[in-house]
Amino acid sequence: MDVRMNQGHLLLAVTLIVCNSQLLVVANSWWSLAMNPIQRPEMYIIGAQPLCSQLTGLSQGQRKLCQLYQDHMVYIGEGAKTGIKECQYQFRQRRWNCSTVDNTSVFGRVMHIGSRETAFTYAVSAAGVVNAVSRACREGELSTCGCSRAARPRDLPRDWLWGGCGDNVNYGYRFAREFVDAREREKNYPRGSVEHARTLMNLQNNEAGRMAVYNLANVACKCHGVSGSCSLKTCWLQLADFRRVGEFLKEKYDSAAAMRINRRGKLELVNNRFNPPTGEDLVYIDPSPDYCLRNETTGSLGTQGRLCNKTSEGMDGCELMCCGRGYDQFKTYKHERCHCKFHWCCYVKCKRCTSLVDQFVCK
Amino acid sequence: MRAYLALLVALSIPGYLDALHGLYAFDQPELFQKKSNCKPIPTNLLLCHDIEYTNMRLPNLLGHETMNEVLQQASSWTPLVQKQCHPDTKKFLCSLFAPVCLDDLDEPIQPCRSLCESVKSGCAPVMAAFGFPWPDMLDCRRFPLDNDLCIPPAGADALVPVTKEVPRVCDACKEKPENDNEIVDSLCKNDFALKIKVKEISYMNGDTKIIPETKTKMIYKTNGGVTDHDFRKTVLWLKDGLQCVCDELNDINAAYLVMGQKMDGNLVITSVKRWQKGQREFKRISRSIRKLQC
Repeated sequence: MDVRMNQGHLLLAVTLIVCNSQLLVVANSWWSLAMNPIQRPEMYIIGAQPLCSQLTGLSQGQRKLCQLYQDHMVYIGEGAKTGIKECQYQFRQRRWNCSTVDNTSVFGRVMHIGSRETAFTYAVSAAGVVNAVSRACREGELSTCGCSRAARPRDLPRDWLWGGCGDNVNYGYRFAREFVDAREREKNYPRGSVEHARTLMNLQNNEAGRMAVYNLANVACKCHGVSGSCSLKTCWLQLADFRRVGEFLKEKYDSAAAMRINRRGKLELVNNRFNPPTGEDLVYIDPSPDYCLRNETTGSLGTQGRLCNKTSEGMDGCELMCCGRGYDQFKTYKHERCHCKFHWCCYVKCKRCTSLVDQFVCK
Repeated sequence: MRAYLALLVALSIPGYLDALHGLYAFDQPELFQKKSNCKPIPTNLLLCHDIEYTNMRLPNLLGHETMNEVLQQASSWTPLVQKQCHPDTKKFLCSLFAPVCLDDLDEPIQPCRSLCESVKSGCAPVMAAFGFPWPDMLDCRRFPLDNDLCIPPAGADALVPVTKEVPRVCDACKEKPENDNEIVDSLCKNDFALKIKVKEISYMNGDTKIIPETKTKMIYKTNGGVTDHDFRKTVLWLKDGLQCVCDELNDINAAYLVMGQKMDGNLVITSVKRWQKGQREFKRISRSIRKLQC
C-alpha cells in the first residue's frame, strides 16, 4: 500500500511538471505585450519593479530592460500591436492569415517552425517597435530621447531649413535592437545545433524588419511662410507610413532565402546558386507546414470556415483557399450605412442600406 | 485505487492550469484614455473661435500637428477674413485650419472644390494686392468635386438677408482733410511724418506691423521726440489692425503719407493717406512744413 501511494504521487508530479513545461513554452513571447493593455507610464512609478516582473512573455534580459526603461514598455506593446495588425493585413487573403490564437503565445505553435511565415512575423514585429519608439521620442513621451538628430541631407536645397522635430529613427532602431534581440542573445545553444540555427534566423529577420523602417524613413517639409507662402520651408526626418513597411517586408517574404546551419555555426544558403542574403533580407530554415488542415502539432488552424472569393483565381479564390475541398455557399443580409450627407452645421446623416449577398465558406 | 488516482489527476489539472494562468496573466482595464484627435477650438484661435462648431481635428487638413502650429499659421489669415472678400472665407479657411470633428466619422470633412473656387475668385485679387499669391496649400484641385460629404458654398438658404455688420474702420485710416493747412495742423499733433512705400505687412499681437521700403522720405520730425536712430530700421505699427479695416492700405504699390507718434519706443501710426499728388506737390508741402511753427 505504501509503495503504491508513492507511485501515485510520483505520477501526479510528473504530469504536473509536463504541464508546467507546456506553459513555459506557450508563454514564451514578448508579442503578448500587444494583447494585454499596458498601463500608462505614470503607473510604473508606483511599485515599478513588481510590474515588470509580472509582465508576461518577457525574457530575463527583456525584464531587466523593462526595469531600466519603464516608460518604453507602453510603446513596445503598441509596436507589437502595429506589427500584428500589419501582418494580418498583408496575409488577409492567404491560407495562413496571421491569426492570433491566445493572449500569451499570440500566434501559437506555428511560430516554433522556422518557416517563411515566421520570418515575416518576426521582421514586421521588430519593425513595429522601431516605428512606435521613434514616434514616441518625437512626441516627447520618453525621458531618454527627443527629436531626431539626423544630419541634414546633402541634396536638400540650401535655402530650406533642416531641423523640425523629426521621428527619432536612430534611437528607435537602437532600442528595438537591444530589446527584441535580448531574447535571442541570452540563449546559449550548442554551435551548429537546430536551436542555434533558429536563433540566428530570428536575429537576421529582426534586423531586416528594423532596417526596413530605418531605410524607408524620408524627408518631410512644411511651408511656414506668411499666408501659406513657401518663403520659409522647414524639413525633417519622418517615418514612412507603416503600410509601406509592411508591403516592403512582404516582398522580402516572397523572396526569402532558404538557409541551413553549417558546422562552423553560420547560416548558409541551401541552394548556393542564389545570391547570399543581405542584412535586409528575410531568411528561413524550415519548409512551411501544410496550412490547409488543422494540425495541433504544427499549430496550423486550417482553412475550414474561411471566407473565400468564388470568382478569384488567386490565393483568396475558393479553389486555392479551400485546398480543393470545396466550399459552401449561403446568403446573408449585409447592413451598412449609405447615402451619407454632411449638413452644415455640423453633422452627418446616413441611411441604412440592407443587401442580400452571397458568401462562400471553405468546407 | 487506480480509478481514484485518475480522477484526482483529472480534477487537479484544470485548476492548476487556471491558477498558473492567473499568476501570469496581467490583464487590467486600461485606465487612461488614448489620445483623441478631437480638440476644442481654443479661444485664441481668432480665425475660427466663433465658427459654428466647437471641436476640431488635430492634426488638421493642412498637416499642422500641434495647436501651437495651427495658431502660428492661422494668424496671418485673420486679416483676409476681415477684408470680407467673400462671405464664405472663414468657413473655407476653418474647414482646413480647424476641420470639424465628428465622433461617428473617421474620414475628415473637406471643403468642396466649388467652395474653394468661389472663395479664391473673391479673395485671390485681395491677396495679390498685398503681394501674396494664392498658396499651393489652398490649390483648389486638392479638394473633392462636390459631393454629399464635403462642405459646399453657402446655398440659397444661407443667403437669407442677415444684417451685415459693417467692419470698423481703423482710426488712422478714416477720411482725412485734403486742405494743406489742415494737413499741417494735424501734423503738429504728431511726432513724425513720412512718405513711404510698403514693403511688408504682417500682424502681431492684434496689431498691424508695416515695414516700409528703404526709400522712406522724411517730411517732418519733432525736435525732442523722435531721433534719427528711430528711423534706421523703420517699423510702423497700426494699433488693433487685426480688428479693423484699412482700405487705404489695400494698394501695395502706392505711396503713402503717414503720420504718427512715438509711443513706448514704437512708431505708432495715427494717420494714413494715399499719396496721389505729384512730386511738385510733395516739395511744396515739404517747404510748408519746414516753415512750420507748432
